[in-house]
Amino acid sequence: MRIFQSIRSFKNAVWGASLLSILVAGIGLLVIVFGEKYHLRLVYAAYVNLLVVLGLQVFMGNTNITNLSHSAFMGLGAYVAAICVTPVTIKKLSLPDAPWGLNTFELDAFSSAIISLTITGFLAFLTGLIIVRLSGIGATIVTIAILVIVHSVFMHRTDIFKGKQAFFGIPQVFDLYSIIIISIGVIFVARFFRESKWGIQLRASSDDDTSASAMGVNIFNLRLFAWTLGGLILAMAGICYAYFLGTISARPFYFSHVFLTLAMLILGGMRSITGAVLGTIMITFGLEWVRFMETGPVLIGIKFPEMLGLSGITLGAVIVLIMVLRNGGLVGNFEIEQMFLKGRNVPKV
Amino acid sequence: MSGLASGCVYGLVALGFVLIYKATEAINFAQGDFMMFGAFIIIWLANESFLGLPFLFAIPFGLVIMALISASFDKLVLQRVAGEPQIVIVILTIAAGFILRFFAGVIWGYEPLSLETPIVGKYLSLGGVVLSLAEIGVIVLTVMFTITLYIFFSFTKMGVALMAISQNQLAASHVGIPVRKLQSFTWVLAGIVAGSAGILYASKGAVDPSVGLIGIKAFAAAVIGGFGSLPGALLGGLVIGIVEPFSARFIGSGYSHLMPYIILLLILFLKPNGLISQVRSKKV
Repeated sequence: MRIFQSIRSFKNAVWGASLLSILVAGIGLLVIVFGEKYHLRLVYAAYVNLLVVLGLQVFMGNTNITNLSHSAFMGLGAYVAAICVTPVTIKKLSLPDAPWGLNTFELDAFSSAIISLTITGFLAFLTGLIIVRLSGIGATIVTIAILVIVHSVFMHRTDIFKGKQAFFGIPQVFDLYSIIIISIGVIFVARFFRESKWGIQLRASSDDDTSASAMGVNIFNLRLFAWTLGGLILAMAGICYAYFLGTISARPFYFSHVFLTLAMLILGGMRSITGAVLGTIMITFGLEWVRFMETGPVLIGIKFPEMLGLSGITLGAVIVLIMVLRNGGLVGNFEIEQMFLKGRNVPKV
Repeated sequence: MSGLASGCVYGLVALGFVLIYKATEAINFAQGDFMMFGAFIIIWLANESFLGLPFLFAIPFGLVIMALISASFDKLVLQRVAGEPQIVIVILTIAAGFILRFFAGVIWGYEPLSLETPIVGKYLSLGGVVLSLAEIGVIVLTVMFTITLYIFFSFTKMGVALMAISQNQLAASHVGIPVRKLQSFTWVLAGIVAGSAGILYASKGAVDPSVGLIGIKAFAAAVIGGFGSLPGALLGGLVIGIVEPFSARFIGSGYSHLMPYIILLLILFLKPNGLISQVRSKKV
């Protein structure tokens, strides 16, 4: 069975993913060399968001169904890995009433990550069974329900997840180098999926599902696959998050994060991996600047007022403007290699 | 009783969803935030600490403001993306909700506020059962509101035309119904419904910018009732309003607010068209 329609689409995928990897790795290395400690954390968080946006792109970009549950899957990935990897001595202290002997074992980082991916992937598969059966809006509603349900479980099963309090003591396994490598891997996965024949069929079905299924495309299975793959990438993002920060709590895995990452994907253009990467970079840097403005700085001798919540409205405004003016996002269907492969190899869009 | 009253609020917000959905086949994910904003506007108009207008004057005034906000959102934003894929509208309305939440927070602060109405905090004792006058007011008003909407949709020319649009836009425009105009009108109506829900919500409890999130619950209500059915939306709201306090008693308060979503998933699984299915009546 062939994965790619033609050798050309495979080549394009390799080219595009490599160029994006160079960009992503370049930014990371610059920060490692020149940045201060404070920057390292920020950039690490940006990479985690990049992983989330890519996980979101795999489903949303190929199926055109809005997914709002992605932060929930990221949270699941983070918590499962954290529960497995945290040393018993700390767990006895922080989770004294944990059921099912959760506080009586500890695993190495690698097996914890595998377990986390398995469990989150399985949950994604189960929820996917419901979601792929629904049409556009129904599916979006279910994703909201998933987000709220998962968040409530995090908040109220304090014996396992500690709710609002910090879940602490997770050993620091990853550094900036590791997440750069993981990001590059995920960029390749997402790009290969996009160019694979499944990705192409999925996008065809999102444009016109009747004719796509008439051509023999099995929409249900493809969507389920994309959903589960997206879930796995999101779980990976969660694992990276937990493995670097050392403490996690339920709060970040909720609406504001959902909205932030959604804005990143939409700004760049959700139909292409280039758009996902570009949107993440732009919003990350843009928001840093907005946050600086929020504090009411003095610029060129002018004292700006303090504006709390400015970052929220900026995100909202960015989304509204992009949707009204250019709803395919900044780059639309464009992928980065088209800049360099002009005239050759480029499929006519 | 208090479950019934909050059910009424959910029902009204759900009604807003359904109205928009029926007329334009889009979902306004910001409906809950519209309600929150409406609640703040009425508080701003009526409370002593703000403008302190007389209550009976503040209500129509607040509803007009809400109608304007809702209509201008349609005019300035949504009409520009007419004909684009649904995902565009979904994302736009979510963003609109965020913007409203931000403005409410900046203008009125993040502390909870409640509306000072003539009936708040008064209680009525009926045969040993103590009832809050505000909650009774909420229920009575919702019933009146529903009856008005029902009459509007069944007996007025405009209402019937709206029903026609909701069934088949193309056919409706062929028989000379001004589809675009009526869709804008639906947004006005939805703004008024959201404002009313806001007034009711504010008179039975405190409001802060995050209460717009009950929109999601109302959303579940709309789905439970069968998206596209006005009485279904109210019924769904009532179901959720009643189930919540009961499940709080029986399975613990932490999980009670999960019930709407669990019911939602069950309904989507077992009866995908909702309790009051619209599909059957469309076939006629």
